Amino acid sequence: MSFIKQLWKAMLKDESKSQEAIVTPYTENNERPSLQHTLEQFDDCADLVHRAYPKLQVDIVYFSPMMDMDKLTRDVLTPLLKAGEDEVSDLLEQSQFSKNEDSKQIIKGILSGQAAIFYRQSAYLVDVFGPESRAVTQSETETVITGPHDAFTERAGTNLALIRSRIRSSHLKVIRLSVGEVTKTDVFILYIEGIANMDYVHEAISRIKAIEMDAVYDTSMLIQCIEDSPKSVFPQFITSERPDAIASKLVSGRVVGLCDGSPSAFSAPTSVFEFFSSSDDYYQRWMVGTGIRLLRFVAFIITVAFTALYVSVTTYHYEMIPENLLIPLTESRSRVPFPPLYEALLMETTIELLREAGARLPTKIGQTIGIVGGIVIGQAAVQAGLTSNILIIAVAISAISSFVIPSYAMSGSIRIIRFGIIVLAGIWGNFGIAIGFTAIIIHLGGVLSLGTSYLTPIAPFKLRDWKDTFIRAPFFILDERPTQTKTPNRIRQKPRR
Amino acid sequence: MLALVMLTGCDDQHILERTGFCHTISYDLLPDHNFKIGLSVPKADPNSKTDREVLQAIAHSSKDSQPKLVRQTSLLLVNGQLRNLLFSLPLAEGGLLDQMDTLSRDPTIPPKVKITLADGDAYDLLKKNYKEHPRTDRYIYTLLEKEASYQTVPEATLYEFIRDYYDDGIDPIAPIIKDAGDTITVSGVGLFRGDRYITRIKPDDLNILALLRHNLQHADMTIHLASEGQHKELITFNYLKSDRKIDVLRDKSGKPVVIIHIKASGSVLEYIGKLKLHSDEDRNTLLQQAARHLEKRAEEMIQFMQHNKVDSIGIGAYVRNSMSYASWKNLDWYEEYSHLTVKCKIDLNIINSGQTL
Repeated sequence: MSFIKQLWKAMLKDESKSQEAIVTPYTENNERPSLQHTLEQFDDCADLVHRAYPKLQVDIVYFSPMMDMDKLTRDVLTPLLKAGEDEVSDLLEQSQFSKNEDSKQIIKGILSGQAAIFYRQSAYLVDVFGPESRAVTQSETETVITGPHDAFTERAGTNLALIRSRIRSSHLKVIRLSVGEVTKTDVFILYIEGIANMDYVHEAISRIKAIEMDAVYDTSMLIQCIEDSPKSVFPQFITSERPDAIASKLVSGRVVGLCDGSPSAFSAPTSVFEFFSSSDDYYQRWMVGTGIRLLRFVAFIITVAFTALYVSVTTYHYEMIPENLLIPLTESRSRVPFPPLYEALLMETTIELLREAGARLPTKIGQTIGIVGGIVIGQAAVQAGLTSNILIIAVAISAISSFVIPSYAMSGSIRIIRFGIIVLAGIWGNFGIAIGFTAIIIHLGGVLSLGTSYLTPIAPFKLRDWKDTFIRAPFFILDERPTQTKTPNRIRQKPRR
Repeated sequence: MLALVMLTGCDDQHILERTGFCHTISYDLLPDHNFKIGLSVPKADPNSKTDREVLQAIAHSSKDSQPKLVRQTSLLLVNGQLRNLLFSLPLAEGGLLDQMDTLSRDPTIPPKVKITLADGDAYDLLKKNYKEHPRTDRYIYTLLEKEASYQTVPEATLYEFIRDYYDDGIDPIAPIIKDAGDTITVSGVGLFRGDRYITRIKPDDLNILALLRHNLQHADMTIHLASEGQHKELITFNYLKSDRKIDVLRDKSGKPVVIIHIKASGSVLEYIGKLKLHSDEDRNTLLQQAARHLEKRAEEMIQFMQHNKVDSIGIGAYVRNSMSYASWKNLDWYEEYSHLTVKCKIDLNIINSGQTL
């Protein structure tokens, strides 16, 4: 064991970590902005455009791929060309041109897609940002049957628009932060003033500010940097691609984060049960919603325990099998050369291979993989005597169940846990499954999400939250915001008369 | 270290295809006081022509037979799926307590395993294959299970047998089965005094026994009111529900008098006779006749039991509850029982008489 400990320590004590910063920051000299200095900074940047108008004593510097060329021509180039020598200074007094005295600010502005205009001794920034981006399309990972279909795109601006159009309130506040020493990615923290608990807002902001990493590309990557227990297998903040889901999180008093370049937003604090609810639950009638939600919890248990149960029952607990099932089960097992544990691990690995192959391939080839995997491997493996039919059924049912869980991140965590439970079932039978489940529950009890318990409303026990956790009660009963958010404004609905 | 952790408990594996699940064990008493133990193990090998293995060993006790049986099979024999225990009558006459003790001591044997008596050689009954029926062991089990679910043949499990044995004031019972050529039939219910088999109730009287022993839920019952020559009168109830109550009274000399009240109601499925069911008057007459008829048969059965000194319907428990523990201890119950006055009062009711012409 000491060997493993040493290895772990060695992995943590990577030498590169001891260096203070990964990249040397730009030279910090608050000198006055000059064209010369700016061009020096952007030496060897082929996409930097420098337009000079010597007659007007005007120089324009910008990154052409980040420009909305129409806007640039309309707002900057045409007015400048039309203006006479003495009219330039008047033109630049207009409000879209912001005068800047700091050369660092000018460089930052150019980097974030603004055009810098140098006129005589002063410099101006003008926002003509407009790179090519994807249109708002349907969500690929979180589809619903009823309800809105639009999903976030990679542009934070678009995403903010999607949220603002849903919450038309001046209380919706947006805080801009920057993450990534190299990438300087924009991160926006959203909350509703008066509903969100400011402690959580400040906590989220301070955690994001504390990130010292070279690059953050996606929200799911960002949340791994600000989680309470980064070593846990469970995601501690829920992410969603759906603006309606994120809007509902905001209204229930949670803090939401958007990351530029990522089509998903995160919400915090989160309880583990949130991963089992979908916006669809609220758009369906309450009984349907409740039924589907309960089905997902059943799916969780099936995913984690069904194959493991097969292993433990066929290895140790023959007493548990009903007599009518015993003979067919034994018969289908009789040609299999492996013990149940290896048989199950073999099939589970195959299923995971199929899933991974299907996920990485284009849709058209993905279907072929499905047929090859489902029919050829399944059928042939049984006929060749490598596995029993009943195991194929067990593995298939647990694989299907794992996709019932709406959050892909949670679904992945559960699939990983399943392997552990299967091995435990192979070692200790049902006792092992019990140990596994106990360990999961103990672990969940220790995980925090933004300092709140991940197991809310079970621990701490909040019975009134159950009506929107395990069931989806009719809306007239859902009159309070969840307790986990510690919102100063609990009532969300006036009682009906 | 890792291997040690990983291999913990690996010796207790019972991987399905390498395990033989004993389904039925038969016990016979040989003239030399040894036991002949038979074992029926279902097989799930698609390559094998038979669907079960029947093993046999002669031993001094049931556990003594285990190594001898194991030597005859390639499978690891386990008891966790045991369904039925078949005892021959001569063995049961000598008392079953030794066997029961061994069986209940083994934690892998389910307490729900059935206790069955075999008319004739138990091993031969188990060994024989019945062409038109499933595997013999399963055939016996499903037969008894079905009978128990219709409440004609009382269920007798290891748990119930031992409970009735140790309980004061009730004696165990167990169904008797018999080879009838191409089929197996239930040839009665064996009555025990303690753990010893004494006598049996014939199959035609099983309804009455069921009515006396416990409350019925949805039983079928046919009452023959008259069957002399041409003149037939019979009534068949289904969904019969009964409620049994036993009262213990004292007569003037202080002797206990037991009165069994049975309230039964069911719907009439069949009636052959002269009376009209849709007439209130006729229906009452019919019910009175049927009730008196049942009372007569029930009292006859109780007298038969008293004569044999077996308390299979548990009268003793009610008598015991009506007196102090000390006086119960001093009582020679079986002697008292054989002279006890037991009366039966049956109240029949018709829920619906079905379609009448």
